[in-house]
Parts: sequence; structure tokens; C-alpha cells
Amino acid sequence: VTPAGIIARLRGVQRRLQLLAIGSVLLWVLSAVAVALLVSVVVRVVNGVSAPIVTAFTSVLAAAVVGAWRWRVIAPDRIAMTDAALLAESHAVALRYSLVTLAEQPVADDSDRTQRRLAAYAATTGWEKPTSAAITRHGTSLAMRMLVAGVALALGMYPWPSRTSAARTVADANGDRPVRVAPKGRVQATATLMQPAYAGRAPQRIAFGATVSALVGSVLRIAGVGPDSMVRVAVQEASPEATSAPRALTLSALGNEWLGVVRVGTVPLAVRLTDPVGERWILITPVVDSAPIAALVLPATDTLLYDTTAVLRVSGSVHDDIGLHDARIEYIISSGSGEQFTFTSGVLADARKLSTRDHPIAALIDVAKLGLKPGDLMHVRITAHDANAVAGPSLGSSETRTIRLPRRDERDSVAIEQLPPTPVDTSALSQRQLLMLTERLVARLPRINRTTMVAESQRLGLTQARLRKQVADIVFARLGNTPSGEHAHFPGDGHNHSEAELATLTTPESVLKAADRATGGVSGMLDTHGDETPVVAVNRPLLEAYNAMWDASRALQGGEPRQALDPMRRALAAIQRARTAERVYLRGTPPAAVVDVAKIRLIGTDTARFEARRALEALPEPQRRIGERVLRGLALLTARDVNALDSLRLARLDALGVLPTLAAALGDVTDAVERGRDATAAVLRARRIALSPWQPTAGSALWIGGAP
Amino acid sequence: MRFTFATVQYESGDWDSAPLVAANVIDSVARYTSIDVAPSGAIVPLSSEALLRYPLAFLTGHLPVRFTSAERAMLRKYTARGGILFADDHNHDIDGVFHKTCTEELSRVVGPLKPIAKTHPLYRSFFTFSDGPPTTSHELNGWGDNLVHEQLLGAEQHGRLSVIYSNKDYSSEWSFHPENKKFLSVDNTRFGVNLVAYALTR
Repeated sequence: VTPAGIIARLRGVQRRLQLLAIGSVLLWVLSAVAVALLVSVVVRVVNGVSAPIVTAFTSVLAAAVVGAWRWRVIAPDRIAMTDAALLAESHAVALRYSLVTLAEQPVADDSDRTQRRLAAYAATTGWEKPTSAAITRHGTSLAMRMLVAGVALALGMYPWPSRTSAARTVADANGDRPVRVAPKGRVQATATLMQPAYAGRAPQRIAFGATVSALVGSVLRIAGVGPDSMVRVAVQEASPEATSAPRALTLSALGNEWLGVVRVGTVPLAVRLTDPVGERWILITPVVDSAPIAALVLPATDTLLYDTTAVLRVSGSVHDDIGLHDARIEYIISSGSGEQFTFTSGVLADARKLSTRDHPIAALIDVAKLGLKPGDLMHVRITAHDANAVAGPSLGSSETRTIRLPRRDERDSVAIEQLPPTPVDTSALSQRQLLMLTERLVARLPRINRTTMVAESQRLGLTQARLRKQVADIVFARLGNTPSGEHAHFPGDGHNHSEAELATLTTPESVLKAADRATGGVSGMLDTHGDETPVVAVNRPLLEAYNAMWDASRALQGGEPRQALDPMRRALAAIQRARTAERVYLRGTPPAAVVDVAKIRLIGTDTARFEARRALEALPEPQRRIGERVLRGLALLTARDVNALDSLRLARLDALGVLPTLAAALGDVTDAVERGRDATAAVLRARRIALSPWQPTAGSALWIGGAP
Repeated sequence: MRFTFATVQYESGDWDSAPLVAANVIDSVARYTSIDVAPSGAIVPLSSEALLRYPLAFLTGHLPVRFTSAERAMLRKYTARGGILFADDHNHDIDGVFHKTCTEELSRVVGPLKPIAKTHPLYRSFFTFSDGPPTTSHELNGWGDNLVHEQLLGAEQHGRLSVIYSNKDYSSEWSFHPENKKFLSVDNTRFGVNLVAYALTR
């Protein structure tokens, strides 16, 4: 046994120790990775949150930190030959440090006597066997621990199903009948919603099972790791008939990853991801971008502008639900008259590259600068485009205000003031009343003196004379070329004498003949007033009354009322005869007037009589099917079935177009359940709507339950 | 029992000269009272037994009135059994033919007509008319006698009026479509409510 031989054996022990140390470091690394994976598994299983990248990063970090730490502590590279010798010394006490002393020698020298004696002594102790046995035990223990760590690692890497995506009962293709899918293997997948770029929104990670609103033109990216043959992604458009089959989505594979892209249109979508474990959903409700809303605040109304040097302010605001692109104030000026008009258009204010949702806009109209003249019309409005790059920018415009500069002659107008009603002449006395007053005076004669009697009689005489004059205006036609006020003509009064007729009335004789014809035989000139032209009677009874009035007024003014009574009675009788002769009873058929008593009393027209009740008409087939699905889904919900929410979400998607009230109620149900709130009221409302064959329309209001 | 306004149809004269009076009175009754009133009036021959169904009967016209013996007998029966006849001179003329003949005929049935005092319960049976019968705008319109008649005439039986006679021409005053009441500041048909209320309560 030579020293070199002993040293060579010690080197073998040293290498085995170094391997054990490296194995220990590996064991720590494996344990750290396993712990990290197990933590992620617990998080995923309990909370349903899957983050493979985060898990991988965490595992690598843990491995690096723990590995570096244990390497530094254990330091396999620093295990020296003396460490191997000390290990042997600890298991073979008989060595008595001979092996350590030999290992501390810088060079093994077989010629050195001391080294040869030490080697000979060490050889006699048989140190190799216990040392090797100890190393083997350590190695076995390490291997066992590594095996445990490996098992833990495997457990951490196993695709445990999460609570929310566990094997489940899901609706079949039509969403009508639940089927159970056996769990085999789970595929990791992520969904990311990317709204159109103009919306300026960051990509949004979508959890499976969620219902999301997305702008039309959005893209849903579903990506996963693993062979794409293990997964099937289908898109099903909402349909009231519930008969649209899911459309398989073509997946593009890139290495070990796959990717599917769903574009959001105007129809609600259900994106179904099927893997060996089961089926997962994402429901997408499209949101259509609205056109911008422009409001013109000033001028508040159409305006007349008389001042051609005025400066007028135009202001308003624009708003868009997503984002504006530009806004402007436009005008059109129309000038001219008759058949010649010219038009000028322009922009008063222009705001571009807006990135906000609201924007105020204002400008000044300088009438002089724009060259507006009297007679011109100026139309002003605000327009705005939104930033919708998917369906094209939408245009919104405000009301148009018209500003008119009137011509000078346009200011003239015709104003007709309505006359007030003509007051009744209450001072007028009829012949009958005069007669009654005279009779009273005659009756009082024994009790009054003559002076009083004469005064009252003369007053009555004046009234009688005035009444006679009024009768004269009616009765007589005064002759002559220039009509007096007693016989005036007006254009269009229908009372003009013809030229031929007037030509025949040139001599008194012809006038008298005409009067005779008119009065039915009374001949001769009846009355003249001094040198006035003769008058002719045209109404015989009234003429008689007129003459009687003469007699009466003469008697009254002479203070002899008793003598006036008889001519007054004759005058009254003649007037009565004249009136009776002229009376014409115009009769027509009056409208039938039936009084609406209820309307007058403001009590309505309800007669408290009702028609017989009719059976309500059944819903059309698509709505009925949706209603039945909703009822089944609500039954599942009541039974705390984990699939109830999915069924209700799918039914809601199909109901959006045809039964909006039911869709709204279902939205309340799923929202309440997801948030852990009491969903009783929402469930009852949804059930009532699903059961009711009558559905409210836009014009009918629900009076019960406060349903939308 | 529902009140129905009845217009009397008689053999002579023009009994239907004021066809819208019934609708106007019905409208006023419905408007101001809770009386159960028929929405349209009835036309009843004066000689018919059907007249007895109506507590108030309205008679008007322009032309001479000569009752037949059957009409006269039925009117006598009607007034004796509690009916009230309201006669109105569509001419508002105290010397007119309707006035002379109608008052003569009525006097033959119920005795002489006398002026009804302004304090009579008729003027307080629903609305209060402290100045007696309301004046019409037709009394001074030059058509009739040009007199404002201060009082109505009437005949009483057993302490209640059985015949009311008017020269005031309510037939013209009330003969318009009820819808046009909205143009009046004061409803001029309120006196009709008094007539109905008096007929139903006395």
C-alpha cells in the first residue's frame, strides 16, 4: 500500500461527497419548484385563476434563489480531500488522524518514509468499508428525498381542474338539454378582448364564464398551450329560434401553442371552448358605436337681425360615447330674390383630432365680414364626426338655426285692430214704449199741473220726432244726383240703382209714378221740406206709420198728449203690420245634438260593462322556446346546480333580440348570483315574464313588479 | 228615474222652431247638477198619453197656436197630475200671434195666466236669480216688441206652477249647440236648470 494509492482512494471518496452535495442542492431546487407549482395549483383550484406564465416565472425564480443559496451554503466545489479524510476518520476511529495527515501532504511521495508508514497504518484500519457505507446511506436518503420532491413537482404540474371549470353539466348545442362531459384532460387557455384601436382601450383579459360588452369590430383572442387537437373553439350567434349551429373556429398553431380569433359583429355571440374536461363559455354582447350628438345652444331660436354690423355668437357642444374626431360650425348663406339665388357655404370653427368625448365649440358671426346684406338668409349648424374607424365615422349634426336679415320693405305689415262690440243704444225708445209713456202721462193728468204736463209732453214729442226721423231714413228715398246721408250708396252694397233707372227719374212726375208703384197706389207727393227735393215713399205701411208719427209729435209738442194717443196707436199698428209683412222664417236642419253627459261631468265613458274575457294568445314559437329554457334554467338555479348560470346566460343572449324585457330580467338574475346578492326578486320577475304570454311593447307600461 | 227633457209637438204652428234648446238644457243639467239626465231629449205629441212620463214639457213656436180638443184635454190632465208646461214665445212679441193665441189657449186649460213674482221659488230652485227671470239678448233686438219683460206669466195648481209662460224668447237665447257655451263668459242657460229643478222638486 503506497501513499499514492491511499490518496487515489481518498479522491474517489471526495468525488462521491461532491456528488452528494450537488444532489442536495438539486433536492432543494426541486422542492422550491414543487412548492411554487403547488401554490399555483391551490390558487387555481380554489379561485379559478390560471396564470401559467406567472407560475413558470415564479418557479424559475424560486429554483434560482434556492439553488444559489444552497450552493453557497453547501459549496460542492469546495469539498476538499481533507473533508473526505475527515469523513473517513469519523467512521473509522482507529485511523487516529493518519489519513488526514496523509491528505494534508502537498504531494504524495512513495519515497517518503513517513508517508509510507502512514499509508501502511491506514491500510491496516480498513477505513474504506465504513466510509463507503456511510456515503451510500447518505446517497440513498438523498435519492428518497428527491423522489418525494419529484412527486410533489409532478403534482404541481398536473392540470388540476379548477372549481369554476371543473367537469360539469352543460347545455347541448341548442342549449336545451343538459349533457355531462367526462373529464379527461384540461387545456390551459386564455381569452383577451381587444377593442378597436379608435376606442383607445387596453386589451382586457376575459375570464371564461363571463358576459362582456364589446364594441362592434372588437377581436377576442383565445390562446392556449398544447396540441390544438385537444381543443375545439366554436362561435354561436344568438338567435331567437335557438337553432343556429355553433360554427367551428379555425385555430392557428404555432409550435406548442394555438390561437383562435373571433371578430365581434352586431349579433350577440357565445364563444364555446371545448376540451377533454368540458366546455367553457364567453358571452359577448355587441355595443354599436353611437353617432355624435351635437347641440346648438346659441342662438337659441331663429333670429331676425336688423343690424348689418352686428356680431353674433354661436356656441354649442358635441358629445360622443366613445370618442370624437372632429367638430365644426358650418354655415350656408343664401342671397338673392325671385328666381336668382346664390349660395355660399363655409366653416366658422373647426376642431380636429379630438381625443375627448365632449368638446365645447363656439364662434362669432361677423355680419359685416361675411358680407351679409338685407334679404340674406344664413343657416348655421354644428356637425361632428366620431373616430369610428371600423364602420366608418358617424356624422352627428345639431338643429339648424336661421338668421335672416330682413329687407327694409319687409318690415311693413298690415295690422287690423278688431273693433270692440258696439254698445247697445239703451237710450232709444220704441214706439211701443213711447205709447206706454204717453198713456201713463195721460193717466197722471188729473194729478199734475199744466206746466209739468206740457214739459213732459214736449219731451215725449221730441222723442217721437226723433223716432219719426229714423223711420224716415228707412222709408224714404231722397231724390237727386247727390245722395244724402238718408240714402247713401256704397260700393258693393247691392243697392245701386242702374244708370237706366236713374235716367228715368229726372222729372217730378216720373218720381211720383215710381213712388206710386212702390207704395201700391198712394199717389201724389207726400211730403216736402221747404225747398228740398221731393221724397218718395217706398214702404207703404211704414209710410202710414210715418204720417201718424207726424200727427203724434205735433200733438205732443202742442201739449195735448191725449190727442197724440190715437195717432201713436196707429203708428204702432202700422209698424207691426210692416214687420209682420216682412217676416221671413228661415228654417234649416240643425245638427243633431246629443249631449255626452259623462264627458261634461268629467267622469269618463266607462260604462262598467266589460267584454267577455278572451284567452290570451300564445307566444310565437321562438319566444315560447326561450321562455321554456329560462324556466329550466331557473329550476337549475333553484336546485343550486352549477350549470344554471351558463344556461341562463345563453338564454339571455338569445332573448336579447326578441324579448328584451326577459333579457334584462335575466341580466339582473345572473348579476345578483355572481355578486352573491339576493336574487329572489329578479328570479321572480324573470319567471313572471317567461310565463306570461303577453309581452310589453314600447308603448305599453308594466304596472306590476316594476319590471323594466 | 232618469230625467228626460220633452219638447211638445202640437198640431198647429211650428213646434220645432228651437230644436237645440233641449240639448242646451240637458247640457246645463248635466254640468251643474247630479240629476240623472238622458243625453238627448224626447219629442212628445201633446195629445199623447206619453206626455205623462215627463215632469217638464217645453212648448215654443212663432205661429198661431190652436190646440185640438185632444191636446187640450191631455194638457189639462198633464197639469192636473203634476206636470209643468214651459211655453216660450219665439217672437217675444206681446202683440204677436203666438202670444195672443197661446196665452188664450193656455188660459182655457189652466185659467188666466198671472205674472210670477220675482221672489217666486222658481228663481231660487237651483241658481238664484234675484232680479227675476234673466234677460235675454233677443228682447231688444228689433224683432219683437222691443220690451224687456220683467216677469214671466204662470198659473198655479195646488200651490205649484203648472204652466209657465215666457215672452223673453228663451227659444232663441238657448238655441245653439252646447259645444259653443265655451264662448260665453256666463252661461245663459242656467235658468233652464232652475226650471228642471223646480219641476222635479215641487
